[in-house]
This record gives sequence, C-alpha cells and structure tokens, in this order.
Amino acid sequence: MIYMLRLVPALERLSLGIASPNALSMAFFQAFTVREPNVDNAFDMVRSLSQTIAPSCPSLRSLQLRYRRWLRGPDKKALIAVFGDIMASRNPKKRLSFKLSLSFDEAPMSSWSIGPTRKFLHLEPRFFTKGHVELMLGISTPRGVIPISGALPLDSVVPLPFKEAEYLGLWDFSSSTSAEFSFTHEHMELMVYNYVRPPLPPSLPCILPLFSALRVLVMERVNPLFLSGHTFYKLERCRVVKPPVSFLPSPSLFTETETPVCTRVDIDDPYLLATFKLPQIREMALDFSHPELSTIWEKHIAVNVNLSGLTLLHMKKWPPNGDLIPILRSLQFLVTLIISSQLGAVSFRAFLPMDANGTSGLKRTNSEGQRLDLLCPRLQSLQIEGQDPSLERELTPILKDIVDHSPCRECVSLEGLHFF
Amino acid sequence: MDWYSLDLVWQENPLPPGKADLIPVEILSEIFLLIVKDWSGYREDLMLVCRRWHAIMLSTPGIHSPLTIRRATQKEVVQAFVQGTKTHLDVRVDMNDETDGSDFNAENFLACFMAAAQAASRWTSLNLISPPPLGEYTDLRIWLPLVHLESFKVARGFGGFLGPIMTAIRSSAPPNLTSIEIEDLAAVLYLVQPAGLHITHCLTTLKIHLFKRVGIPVDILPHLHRVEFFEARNLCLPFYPPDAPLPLNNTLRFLHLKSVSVQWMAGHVFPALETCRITFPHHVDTIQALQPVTMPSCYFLTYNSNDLHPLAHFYLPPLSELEVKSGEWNTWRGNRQLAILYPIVTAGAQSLTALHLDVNCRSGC
Repeated sequence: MIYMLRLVPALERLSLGIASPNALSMAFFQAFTVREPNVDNAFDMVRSLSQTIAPSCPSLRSLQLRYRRWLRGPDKKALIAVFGDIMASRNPKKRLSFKLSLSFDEAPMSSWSIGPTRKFLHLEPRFFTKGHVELMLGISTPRGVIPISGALPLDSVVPLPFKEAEYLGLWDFSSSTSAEFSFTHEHMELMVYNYVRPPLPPSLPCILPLFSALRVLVMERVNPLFLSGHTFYKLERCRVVKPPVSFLPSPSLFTETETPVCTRVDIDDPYLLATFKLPQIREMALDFSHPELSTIWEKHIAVNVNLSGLTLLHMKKWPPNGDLIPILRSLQFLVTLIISSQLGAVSFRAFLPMDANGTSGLKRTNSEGQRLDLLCPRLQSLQIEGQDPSLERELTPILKDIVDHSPCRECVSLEGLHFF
Repeated sequence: MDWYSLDLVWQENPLPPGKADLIPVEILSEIFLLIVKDWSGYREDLMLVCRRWHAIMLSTPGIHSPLTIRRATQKEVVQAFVQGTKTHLDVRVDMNDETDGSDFNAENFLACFMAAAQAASRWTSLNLISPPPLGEYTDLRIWLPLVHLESFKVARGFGGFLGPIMTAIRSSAPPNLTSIEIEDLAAVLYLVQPAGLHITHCLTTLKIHLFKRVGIPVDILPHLHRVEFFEARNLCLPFYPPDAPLPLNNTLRFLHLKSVSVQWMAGHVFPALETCRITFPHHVDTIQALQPVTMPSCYFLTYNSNDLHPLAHFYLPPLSELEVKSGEWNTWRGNRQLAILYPIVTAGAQSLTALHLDVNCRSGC
C-alpha cells in the first residue's frame, strides 16, 4: 500500500479503514514523516526515520484512520508515538494545515485528533462544541508528550481507547455535566451526561488503569464526584475548577481520595479538597468564598493536607475583611502568597508582627520586652490580584508597616508586594 | 406561531414606520427575489422583519411560500393563508408531530388538504414527509391542474392517500415536473404505467429509496430520457439485453446505486457521468473484460463491495477522488483486492487528491 501511495504525490486527503492496530505496521506510518521537525519538536528518532524512509504523500493535509477494533490490553504507545512524530514533522510552522485523526467503529460519532509530540503539554480546550464535552489526553513517550483530543457527545457512552494516559483534561461549557468511568474486561468507557438527570452512583473503587497512570488532571465545569474514593498513585498536579452550578457539594458525597505524590492542586470546592489526602503538597489554590471555609479548613483540610510543606498558596475570592490569621498560622514554610481579592485593613494586619494573643504589636504603645511573632516567616512574595487602586491610598499606612516591619523579623525579607 | 397568528399580532400591535418603508415595493420585491433565489433559507427571516416585508414576500409571485399541514393545523388557517398570498406554494404534509399533543383528526386533515388544493395550480413542490394514519381517502380530489409543479417527494407509508395524488400528477402535471423523490414502491409503479410515462420521460432528477428490496422488477430505465441525477436503493431492475436502448446512459451525470443491479451498465459508455457511487451492487459478475463500464468524464468514484475485482473492468479517466471499501474479512484476500486498485490509483497520480480505503489488509502489501 505504501508503494501505491508514493505514486500519488497530489493526494491531500487520505482515509484508511483499518481492522486493528496490528494491521498496518509502524513502518507504514513512519513513511508519512516528511522531514525533520522544528527545533521545539526535534527528536532524534524522527530525524533518523526521515533519513531512512522516503516521505509519502507530501501534499497530504488530512490523514484519517478508522479502526474497527482497538486494543483491549495495554496501550500501544509506540504506535501513538509515531502518530505524534508525523504531526511534529508535517509542516511544523503551520500545524493546523495538517490533521491526523483517529476514530473507532465502537464510537463512530467521536473522533480523536492527534497533536504533535511536545516536551511539555499544557492542557487546555481546543474549541467549544455545543452539546459536547471537550476531552484531552496526553500520552508520554520517550520523545515527549502526545496530545489526543476529542469532543464527546453529551449523554453518551464513549470507549476510551487510551487507558494509560498520563494527562487528562475535561471541559464542559454547559456547566451541568457529570462524568463516569467504567472499566470491564480491559475495556474502558467514559460516560458524560447532563447533571439534571439523576446521577449515577460513583465508580466502584476498582483500580482504573487511567487513574493509576494519571500525572496531570484538569477539569472545568465537570462534576468531580467520580474522583471520590480512588487512589491516584502518580498524580502530581490536579486542577478541578468551576464545578457545575447545579453541583451541591457536601461532605457526605465524598470519600477520601488518595494522591500520595501530588504536589500542586487548584481546587475551587473546599469540600472536595478536604477529601484529598495530600502528604506531598507544595502549591495549592483554593476558592475561599465558601461560607463554611474556616470550619472546613480546620476540621478537614488541615487534617488531610500536609500544610507544613506548603510553599505557595493562592487564595481565590478571599472575603475583603476576612481574618487571614487562622489560615496563615498553619503555613510556617509559605514562600509565596497570592490573594485574589480586594483586601481590607483587617486582612492586611495578618502580615504585621503580633504577640502570642494574635494582637498586632504595632498597636501597642510600649512593646519593649515583647517577643512579637511573624506569621509565615519565610514569606518572600505577596501578590494581591484585583485590588482597587482607590483603596490603596487608604491602605498605604498599613502597607508601609508591612514593608517596614516584615524584614526585621527572622531575617527574612519580603521581596515582593505586588498589586495586579 | 404560524403566519396567520403572526399577522394577527402585528395588526394589533403596529410599529411606527421607519426609513426602510421609503423603499418602493417593486424594488424590495426584486431584492427579495434575488436573495431567495440564492439563499432560500432567508425566506422566513425576511418575512419576520416587519408587517410590510411580510406582505411583500407573500405578494411577490416569484417567491415561494411554504405551507405545511400538520396534525394541529386548522382548515381556517390554511384557507386564510391560501387566500392571502399570490405566491407559488411549497406544500408539505408532515403528520409526525405527536409531541405537541395534537390527536389526529382525519376529517380536519382532509379539510386542510382540500383547502390547500384550492390553490393547486400554484403548487411548485409537494413534499409528503410523514403520512397520516391509515385510512380511506377516496374523497380526496385535486380539481385544479398542477401546472406549476416542479418537484414531488413522497415518503413511504402514504398508502391510500397516494392514489389520488398520483392520479392528479399524471393527469395534469406539466413538463416542469422534473424532480421526483420516492420511498414507496407503489409510487414507482405509477411512474412506469403507460399513463405516467410522459412524466418519467421529462425527469432530470429521480431518487428511489426503497426501505427494503422487493422482488418486483421495475422496468423504468428505458423511460428515463433526460435524467441527469439518478439514485436508487433496494430497487429491483429487470435484465436488459446488451442492445437495449437506455437513453439515460447518455444523460447521466450523477449516479448512486445501493443494493441495485449493475447489469444494465455492463458494456456501456457513460459519456457525461461525473460522479458514480456504487454500494453492494447486484449482478456484478456481468461486468467483465468483454463488457466493461466506460466513464470517460468521471472524477469521483465510490465502490463498496465484498469483491473489488469488477473494478478492473471500469475504464476511468484520472480520478480526483476515489473511495473503495471491501467487506472481505480475510487479510490475504484483502491484499489481493487492494492490488486491483493499483492501476486506478496510479492512473490518477497527478489528479487524485482524496483517497478513502477500507480494505482488510496488512502493511507490506
């Protein structure tokens, strides 16, 4: 077949119906690698392939592969890697001009687009498709990460052919979607459905190969209930934001989610974060607008999350005059604090030296002989996002106190106080 | 909301005149005609702009107005619509609207249809989308001649409703009727009766999509004198002798056959055929080296069959798009079938821009 394809140099669209991943060899697909990729996507293996095999179909703009059957066993990463190499090598400066897509007879309505091999994968939705949930997977290969993206129709069960992806991104734009994974006889399926329907019971705590392989998880506007009770052995980064408006979290909904090596989380819902066991956490972002946040923080988050290891905290939607002291008191090793809010004077006092009772020492007329403690003594960067410039004038005296007094304690300097 | 109800709303709530009202009716009519000619989808948008535009659209003879009869449609609405317009009408019968809670009323339906038939001489298209429940429609009559009818579509299941319609079409349809799409075998049989052949002779577009294959041969091909677009699905054709006069061979530009005999194509030349789609052909063994199919103008070919060997006897120019699918499950035989494509693909070396292959094979073949 490859010999025949070499005789049609004008070919722009090629669609192949293939019985299984074993039907056409990797050498067949490697012949579509037309030249060396650019510097960002340079991989030695690709270079050697392009030197040894003459390129096929140089004018090709679309390669569609439709498999009647896919693998039930472990993922065939070597084949996916070749797909990524084809994408990386084909006109790398204008990647949109070439498209490689996979589809499967089991789910004829869904198609997967392969992206070029990258050193780093930033999970983000491609485009909005009405009535669909955007999904992106990333598969690690020795030469980098290969993004695979697709749009899954709502209220459908779609086979997930890539069971051991390390990256998973799920985005919905209807704000009412739930997801559920199932795994039976080496076959994994994802069901996405509208939240107005009665939710399915959460996944049984079986070992999903996807959950065991995931290193990065990003979800936006998707009900996170399906995460509950699972163990993500390799998960390093997790972002679960903007849960559906119809999603009403409560502690009873969740069971503990184990993430033994996770170092960075960005989770809007405090109840969800409270169920995450995070012994290795380093960086955390949380929506602090929940009315019961202080209780959840003290009773659950402080217990499950190893706050002593936290070096970066992003406080989203912090109440303007909320008391930061109970939160910051447990963060002794915090280096960077980002607050997305219009802070009032009450909140700012947390950054001033204080005595054992939590009273700011600067208020005292005579502080001689008093040992004043400083919250977050290692804090080096304080970034405040969304501050109203007109309020800055009113807050100038207290800000001056913060800058003046912070460096004098524990010999740690507050290097940055930034407003955005 | 239908046009009749909308008009009532506008009459009760008139809007003050704007600058657009200064444009003369004749000029707006011309503009609307040009728009609707190229983008018929804008017809309803234009009618919804204001009362004046709505009235102009309905009074411009060259613009067709859609008239749909559903379960919920009332006779008075149809009568008011027919009497309030001078335009040609695109009539549709669609009874598949149970979801709005309307029960079918045979008497009301018949009255609606007869009200629409009062303007039968203004019908340009008749589209029978979904049938009314089974019943007797012997009282149905279309008295006025269908002098402007250009296209006729009928889905399956219209049963007794079909007879009076086909009788009216056969008796009064003009040569303007050039496009027919049929999903009902009974309607096809009407076309091949002597009284209906004058219609068949004039057709340029004929689509026959039967739900299932019935073993009644329909000898329609010799009567297609002008047909350019021919689609047939599950149609049983008779065997034609090699020298049978088939005028469509010279006029066909687009051919789509699915589960239909290709015996009539064997040994013939199709000089004007540009696009050819053949899926699950019957009697394919009649296409042989001594009876090849020659399509000198074809640039798009789809062939879907378990056996690709007859493709070797298709004489084709360099194609720009080729789509081939084989149901052969054996890889070894699949590889051999793929080899059959080699001459066709290589002939299109400089022109072939799209290739769709679905053949069970292994790389290295």
